[in-house]
Amino acid sequence: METIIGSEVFRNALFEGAVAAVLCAAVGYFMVLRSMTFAGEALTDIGFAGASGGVLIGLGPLWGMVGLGLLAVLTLGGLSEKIRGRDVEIGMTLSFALGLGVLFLSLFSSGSGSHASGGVGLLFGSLMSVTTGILWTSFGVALFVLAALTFLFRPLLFSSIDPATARARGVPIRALGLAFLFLLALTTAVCVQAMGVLLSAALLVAPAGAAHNLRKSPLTTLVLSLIFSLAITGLGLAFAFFGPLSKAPVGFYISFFAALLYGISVLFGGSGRLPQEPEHHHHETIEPDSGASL
Amino acid sequence: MDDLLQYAFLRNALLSACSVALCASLIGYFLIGRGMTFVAHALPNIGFAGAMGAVLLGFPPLWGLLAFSSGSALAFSFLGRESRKKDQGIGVVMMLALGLGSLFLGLYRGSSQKAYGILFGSILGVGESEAWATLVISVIVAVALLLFYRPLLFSTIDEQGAAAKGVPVRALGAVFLLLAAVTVALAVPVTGTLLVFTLLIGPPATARRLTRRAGTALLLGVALAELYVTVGLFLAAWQGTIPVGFFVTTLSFVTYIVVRVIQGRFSWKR
Repeated sequence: METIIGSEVFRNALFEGAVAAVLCAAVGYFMVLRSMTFAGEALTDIGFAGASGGVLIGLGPLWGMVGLGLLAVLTLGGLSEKIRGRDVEIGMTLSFALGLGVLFLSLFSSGSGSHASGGVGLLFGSLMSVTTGILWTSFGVALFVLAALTFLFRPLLFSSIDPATARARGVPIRALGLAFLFLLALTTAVCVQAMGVLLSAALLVAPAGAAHNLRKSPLTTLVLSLIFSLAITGLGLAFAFFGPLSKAPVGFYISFFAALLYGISVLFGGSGRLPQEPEHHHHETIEPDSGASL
Repeated sequence: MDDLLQYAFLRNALLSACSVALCASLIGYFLIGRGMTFVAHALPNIGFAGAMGAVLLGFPPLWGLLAFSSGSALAFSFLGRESRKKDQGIGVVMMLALGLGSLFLGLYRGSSQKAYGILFGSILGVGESEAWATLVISVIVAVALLLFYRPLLFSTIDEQGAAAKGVPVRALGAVFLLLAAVTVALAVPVTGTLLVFTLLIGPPATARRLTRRAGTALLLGVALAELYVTVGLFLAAWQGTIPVGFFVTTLSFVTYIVVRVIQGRFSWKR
């Protein structure tokens, strides 16, 4: 036990876990508030494709992910006048990005040999293989994203909760939406590189989702999602290093605890006040031809 | 083209890909209409985890695929229509499934090649009996969907109205998602998890932009899907190294963008 705690693997995993947990909880808070879970999930997968592209052209996985992520955000922005709730456009962008990923992987594998393990590794990732370089990059990006979120906090919160009023008051809704998507893309790029698609998606959705389910004030929700995120990551790492199943990866434990937390939050938050989203909302999403009249 | 069709593996690939394209584009039309694009992305990934579990336990991957995708489809049918809650629920179920998938991968030594095969499919390795089986199941799914066509369309367009008229909305939604799960389980071994998503979303999304009529959009979606996989397969066979998935996703995306741009021009003039 002494040796594990002293080892560099453990230290790096712990620090990276903490950085990613804080970053994902803060960004995830707004992601959930803006009903952009699918966009976030899509960006983690697009990151997977970007990483293989980045490796292929020699930029390295991180810049490949950032590059493809930003391209995807621009595509999304160009395709949808309204960024919220446009899941068909997200789907089309994601599907094309995944196709590119397949292309990159096949070009890559015709050069070297072991594409499979690399691809699957990135998909499931692991906090156990974080290098000091990756750790510093994530730290830097996390500082930047958190600073930007702090700077944009009030208008972003306003436009997320009540876009109509915010627009009437002159808040640049569309620019804010795009800026937030950029921050989300940066976050997913860094997190996917450090811990894979699965863990990044888990930490983005579950803590913030669980915190929102409890229906507290905005600031309490944000703090709760930070606490949840750190707790899940800590528990997951503890079980991965010291747990009984020695071969179970940290991704399994973290996603398990994340799902458990989310389930509990549904049980406890379900009977609270009325839902925040207005009832007429669903007409907008199921109108069969709403896409054509965009 | 005649030369290429002499290869049995290509014939089987074409048959199974066209079968999958048929039911995927039909199911996808309703998935989009019900605001469930995320489900189209989640189900193949969840199925992937199930397939890994089956491989670990020594069962055929298809059993795991079916078990996981239909189990989660049932879970999704309880999520309701509020988009924020629904997407979160889908995200969490998918995450849990992928977590299990990573556990299975961790427990199963030396399986990354197998995982890779499930992820990206093995369309060129489909046998003749498999290809025919895919066609039969696909036709069964399509016929089942057509049996529920009217109430399903009604409840997709106006759930409350359908419920008021006595349509069993909940049960219908669950049956529909189960059909989606079967489609995904059928398609993943052929096309891989990535391409299933494209076939589910790409053709119907383009078709829905071209026409407002549901029946026409469904048929147009099927036609586009068949076109994409056929052209994609021949391009891949002709080119040699680049996988089918890339060609199909590119065809689908480019067609969609062209339609969007032309429509944009059109509405400018009006």
